[in-house]
Amino acid sequence: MEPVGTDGRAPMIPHGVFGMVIFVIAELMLFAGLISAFFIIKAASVAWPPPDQPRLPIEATAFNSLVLLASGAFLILAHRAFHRGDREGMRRPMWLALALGTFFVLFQGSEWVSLLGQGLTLNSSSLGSFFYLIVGIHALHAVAALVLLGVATARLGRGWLSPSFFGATEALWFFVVAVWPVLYLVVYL
Amino acid sequence: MRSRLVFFVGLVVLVLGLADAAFACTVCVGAQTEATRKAFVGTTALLTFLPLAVVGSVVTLFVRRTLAREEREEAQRLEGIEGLESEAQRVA
Repeated sequence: MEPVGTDGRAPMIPHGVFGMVIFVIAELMLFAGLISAFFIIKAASVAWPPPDQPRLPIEATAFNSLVLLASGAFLILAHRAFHRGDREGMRRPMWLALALGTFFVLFQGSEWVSLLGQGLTLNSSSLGSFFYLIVGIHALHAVAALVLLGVATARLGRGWLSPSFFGATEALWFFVVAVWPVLYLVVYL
Repeated sequence: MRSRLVFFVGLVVLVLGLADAAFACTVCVGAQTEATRKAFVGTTALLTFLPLAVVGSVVTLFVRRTLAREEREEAQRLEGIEGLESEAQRVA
C-alpha cells in the first residue's frame, strides 16, 4: 500500500521514486563534471589518444552497449506490464533485463582486465586515469542498479513488488542505460 | 554602535585597499590554445544549463501532473453533484 499525504490522497509521485530521481540528478551532475574535466584535458593534450597507450576496444564495447540498451528495452516492457496489472507478464522481461545487465557488467570487467594487461592503468596516462574513473563510476552505479533490479525481481516472484520500489529501480537502471551511450561517445570515440 | 560602524568602514577600506585582480577566468587567462579555450567555454555552458534543464523538467512534470489530477478531481466532483441533483429531481 502506498503512503498517503496529509490530505488523504496518494502522493503525486511515489516517495521512493522521488528520492531516486533526486539522487539521479545529483549523479548526473557528477558525470557532467567528469566529462567536462575529460574534455578539457583532451583539448589541452598535444596528442590524443596518447600514442604509447593501448587502444580502447571500440567494437567490443559497441556490442556491449547494445546489450545494455536491450536490457533497458526489456525493463520498458516490464514497466508496461506492471502498469497493466500483468504481474505474470513482467517476470520474463525483468529476468532478461537483469541477465543482460549482468552480462554488461561482467563483459566490461573482462575488458578492464585485458586493458590492464596491455598497460592501460590508472597511473599510465591521463587517458587511463579518466577511463577508469569515468567508466568505473558508471560500473559502480550499474552494480548498485543491478542489486536493486535483483531485489525487485525477487519481490515480484514473491508477489509484493510495490510501485514505489519498482519505480525507484527503474529510475536508477534507466539512468545507467541512458548515460552509457554518452560516456561511450565521449571516452571511447 | 559608533565603534561598530567605524570598525566595519575600516574593514571595507582595508579590503578595497588590499584587493587585487585575480585573473581567475580560465577562458581569458588559463587557456593556452584555442582548442582549450573552446573546451572551457563548452564545458562551462554544459555545467550551467544542464542542471537548469533537468530541474526545470522535473518541476514541469510535477506541475502538469498536479494540474491533471486537479482537473480529474474537479470533473469527478461535478459528476457527483450532477448525479445527486438528478436523483433529487427524480425523487421529487
